[in-house]
Amino acid sequence: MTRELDRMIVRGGNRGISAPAAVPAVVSPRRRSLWRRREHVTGWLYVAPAIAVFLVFGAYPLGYGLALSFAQWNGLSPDWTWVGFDNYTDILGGRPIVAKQVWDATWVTIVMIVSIPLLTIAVSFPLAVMLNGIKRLRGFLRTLYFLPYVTAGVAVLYAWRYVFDVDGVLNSVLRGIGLGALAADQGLLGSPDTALIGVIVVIVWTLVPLGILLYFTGLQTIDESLIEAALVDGAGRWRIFRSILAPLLAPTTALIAVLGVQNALQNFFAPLILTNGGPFGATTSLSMKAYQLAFAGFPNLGYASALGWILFLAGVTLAIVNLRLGRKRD
Amino acid sequence: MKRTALLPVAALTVLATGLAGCSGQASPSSDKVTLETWTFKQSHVEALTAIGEQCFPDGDVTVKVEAVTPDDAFTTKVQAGAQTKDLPDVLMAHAAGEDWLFAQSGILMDLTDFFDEKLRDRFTESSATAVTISQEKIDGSGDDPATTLKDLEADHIYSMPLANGTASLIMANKTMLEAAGVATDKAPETWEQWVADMTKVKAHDPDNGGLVAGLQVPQVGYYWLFQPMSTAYLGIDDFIGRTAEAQTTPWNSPGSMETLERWNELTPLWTDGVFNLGIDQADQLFAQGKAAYDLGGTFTVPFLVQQGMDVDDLLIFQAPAPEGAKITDGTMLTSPLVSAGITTTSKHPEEAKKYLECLSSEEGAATFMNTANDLASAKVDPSKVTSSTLKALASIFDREDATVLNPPLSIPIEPPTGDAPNTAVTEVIKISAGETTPQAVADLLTQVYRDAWAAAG
Repeated sequence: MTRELDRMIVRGGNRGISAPAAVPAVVSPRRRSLWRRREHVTGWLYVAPAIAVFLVFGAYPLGYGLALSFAQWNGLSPDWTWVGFDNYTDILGGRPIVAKQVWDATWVTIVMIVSIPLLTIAVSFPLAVMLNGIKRLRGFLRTLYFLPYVTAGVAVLYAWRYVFDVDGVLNSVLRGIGLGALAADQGLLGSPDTALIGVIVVIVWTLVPLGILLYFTGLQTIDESLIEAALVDGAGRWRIFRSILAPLLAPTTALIAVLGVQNALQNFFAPLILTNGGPFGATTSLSMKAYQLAFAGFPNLGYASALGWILFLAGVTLAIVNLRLGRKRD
Repeated sequence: MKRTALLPVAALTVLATGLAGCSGQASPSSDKVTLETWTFKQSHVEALTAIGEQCFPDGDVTVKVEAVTPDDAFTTKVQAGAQTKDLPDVLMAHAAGEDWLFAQSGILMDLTDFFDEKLRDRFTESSATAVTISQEKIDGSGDDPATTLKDLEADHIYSMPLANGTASLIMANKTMLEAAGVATDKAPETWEQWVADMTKVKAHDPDNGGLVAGLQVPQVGYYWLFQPMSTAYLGIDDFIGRTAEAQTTPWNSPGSMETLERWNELTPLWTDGVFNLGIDQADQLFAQGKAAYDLGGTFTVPFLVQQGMDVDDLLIFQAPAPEGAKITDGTMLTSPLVSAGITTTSKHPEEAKKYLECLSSEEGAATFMNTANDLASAKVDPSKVTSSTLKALASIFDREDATVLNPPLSIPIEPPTGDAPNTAVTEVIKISAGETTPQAVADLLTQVYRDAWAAAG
């Protein structure tokens, strides 16, 4: 805009567009340069607070974490000990004790990476289709379905602990409806065989609202005439889903899958609050392991940072693969 | 235009002022000194404050005590304080471990000169020795920057013992035991009798009659109960032979198999959901009457009192030895669990030293015991201890006429490298979860330890 204005001024007139009152119609190059500089400074001053916040709370921790991944530090001593790539090699097998813990956590994380996106999609898609198909109470139900997303937090995780407890809601309901055999004797979170299921269910519960919202938005953009034409041609519900809805909503599905993978890789507070990584490490995911390395026992923030960056690279790789596959399908 | 240009300047000014506000505040000048103290024990706050008031009766020094729990939150708080140079004057630490790590990191002062003969005499020799770092400890700490102690000096002291204690303590709810017809006038004398009692209580109240412990941390079950029971059954030599390099009595030896079988007898007696309970949660459950027995330590008693339990309703005893045990009169030695150090950044080191002297004085230690219901590390005239609980504890631990189940050992009993100790902990506790069998664990751990020692050369 400023450049356009300058160009018009140089041409010798405003040709129908009035220049701001403060800018004379004809100015010397020196004054024009001064004016442009002032504009630049004003612009920078406007964005400066945002840039300052980003540099302090975004770029600095990132750089700090990256540097820390090449050092050994317990968070207490004033100095770091630079170790090059040792933290990475130790984690990946060079130091058996740490490597074994990390590999155990990797298996837990793989289960989460596979199940969380799948379950989120499997639950949120039908709910979004149902929500799209009804006319009454749609707004109310949309708000209701979105509640878990805005209420998810530490307090809710504690509430889930009570739900899954030995005498919790889940076991009580199962016993109440005559399915006591399915009740978990140790509580869902108290047995290494079932604890991970509980953690995954809670994470999926927090992701489903977003999935519904994204699918719902996607469904709104699909031309209804397409569905009507398919119905006229005798297509059933399954055929409509397979040949129309699923392909058209593939980008949304890919996005939800990426969000699910990201959550499986990053979410450490759900296992932390629900099980503290137990029983017997059954719910210690890689992000939980990074937390334990940083703050439990003898803290080693170098290992924790290195593991964090490995997780970041894994997340980026999985996201790229997912999006590439999605594009290929398209 | 001038006005619009001023807006971002104003915004920046506000932001800068805000950030400056975060960086520190000038405190009003005053002659009064506030001695800041951080602890990780909520139950110690009242006692530490009371001793501060006794120590500085004129009120010119105020001891402000802040508790940060749980332990990982305390660690994070100290880490943050170390980076921002915002540490307290007096810092509590887990004795004989964390205090040395803090000293190695430059957080705690060297108290060797301060801890002179006069002060040392206030403690038992074993307590004073426990917080004195030895050359073996320094050499054994390795080169890992996260754990090394190589910058410390042998025979130096970096913190003063505050609270002693030990684990391997069973607390039973007398009311629940009596309701099930189990005698509460004396503790069970053998492991078998204890198991029979627990079975009776559990049968009477299947939902709330079990044994509870913070098995979310498997080390709790292993070190607090399985290991003392094993030591009693096997005797010191065979216990060492199970995990030490010689492997004279490996995990699948008959004696060791017996300990695993005895351990397995507890499997049906644990409270449901015990494997997802932290230490505090387990104690809370017991205090709420949802378990009849609680596995803990001397430090559990003040927590239970804080949770509203009546001490007189507790039957407290050490887990008894199984029949056929080599040591039937075993006792656990208490050792310093919490110690007090002075930070290198303290602005009031002299006042902090005076406070430490008060903590270790006979009057201070008595106040600590009677207020916190915890065992003080400093010697106290028994007549000054009014807490009936602590009197009861004194008859259980540190008994001079008994065989010590946790003596200081001169040789390493675990392989120096590898994950064998953690594997042992996990596998033994998995027996209680019904995830494996004593025989499978014995065979696995025999192989694991053999391989670990072979790898160690």
